[in-house]
Amino acid sequence: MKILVAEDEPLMLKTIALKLKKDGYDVITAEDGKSAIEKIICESPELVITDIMMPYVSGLEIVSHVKNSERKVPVIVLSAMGQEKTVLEAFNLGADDYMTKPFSPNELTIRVRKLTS
Amino acid sequence: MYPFLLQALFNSHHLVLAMTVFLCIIMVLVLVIMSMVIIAQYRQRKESRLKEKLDDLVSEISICEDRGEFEMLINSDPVKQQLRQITIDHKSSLQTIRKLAEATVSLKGIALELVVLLYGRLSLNRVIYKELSKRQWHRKAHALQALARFKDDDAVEILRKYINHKNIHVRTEAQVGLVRLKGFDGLNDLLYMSQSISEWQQICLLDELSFHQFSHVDVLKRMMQVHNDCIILLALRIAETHFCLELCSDIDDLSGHPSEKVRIAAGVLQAKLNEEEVLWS
Repeated sequence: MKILVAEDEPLMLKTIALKLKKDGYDVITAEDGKSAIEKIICESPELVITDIMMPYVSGLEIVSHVKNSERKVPVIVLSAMGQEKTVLEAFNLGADDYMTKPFSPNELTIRVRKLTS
Repeated sequence: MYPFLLQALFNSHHLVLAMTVFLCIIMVLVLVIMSMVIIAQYRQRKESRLKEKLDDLVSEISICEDRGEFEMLINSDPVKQQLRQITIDHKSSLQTIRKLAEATVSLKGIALELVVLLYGRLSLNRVIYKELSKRQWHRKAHALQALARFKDDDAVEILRKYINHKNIHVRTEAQVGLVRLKGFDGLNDLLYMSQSISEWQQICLLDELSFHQFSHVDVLKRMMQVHNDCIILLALRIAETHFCLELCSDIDDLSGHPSEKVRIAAGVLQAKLNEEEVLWS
């Protein structure tokens, strides 16, 4: 199963990608919103994990793009912004789950497993 | 005589000599600048290679399921070599501390515990103590921030020494660090401060306090009785955030305070609390 991880912090991107690979997933990474959307179009992942604050295109726009496309894959939003307004906006756009940082990699994989089962 | 002198000084032989000397100086300068650029580029490449190594190492450690897996990983030969490389000198150790501190901001649970464990295993606290002894304020501030993030055993005692430091950034990190480690109990250490607490510092403290459960009305009472107006204003801000109706009489007592700022802040808060009391009664 292919999962796209969009995160501009190199350390977090590596940590999430490594954890998901360890759990047997095929991982595609993107360091900014623009390349995330390009990879969603080219690689057709089956789940998207995205940060909110990213260069060029924000995570919320990625959620909107995915949910307005033909293939409506699950999206998990992972962000340091835990304000109610941001969380509501993400869910209104169609996000399937929202996690705030600091986060536990183990908890993330449980949520991924739940959405992909 | 003068024309003869000029002719003697500025003949073609002397001009050629002067130009040659000038060109040599220029060439030496160019060589010096080029070597500085090459050295800077080499250092930058070395730093980015180290950053990448650190990213790989920290992410591998963060995804360990438990301490057993962590021990197996750090005792493996390739990782042992990496650990030696990332602490080979003071600069590399500082970068390692920064990377581990970055990880503590984004991770929690077992991942966070293992990052902190790695910090302890590498004895990076010695590097931090060395940084604290430096004169530059930004080095002290970074060191204090790291101490609080890694919950060093001696952190509380060390942070206490800096909460009244003359540099605002150093004392901010010390104050926020104390609150991070002790929650509202950390405010007791601010009672004897003589330095000011800016608006921005108050916001930083309030932000850090938001992660701790509030149950310390007594410490706020004590804060409202100190001589430092900034401490009183901070106490009023905290009382406002947590709707401390039980402090109404203490806030009322501040209406006669010599500082106008304190009197205004107390008056505004008193009005808000009275409004809340009416709403809830």
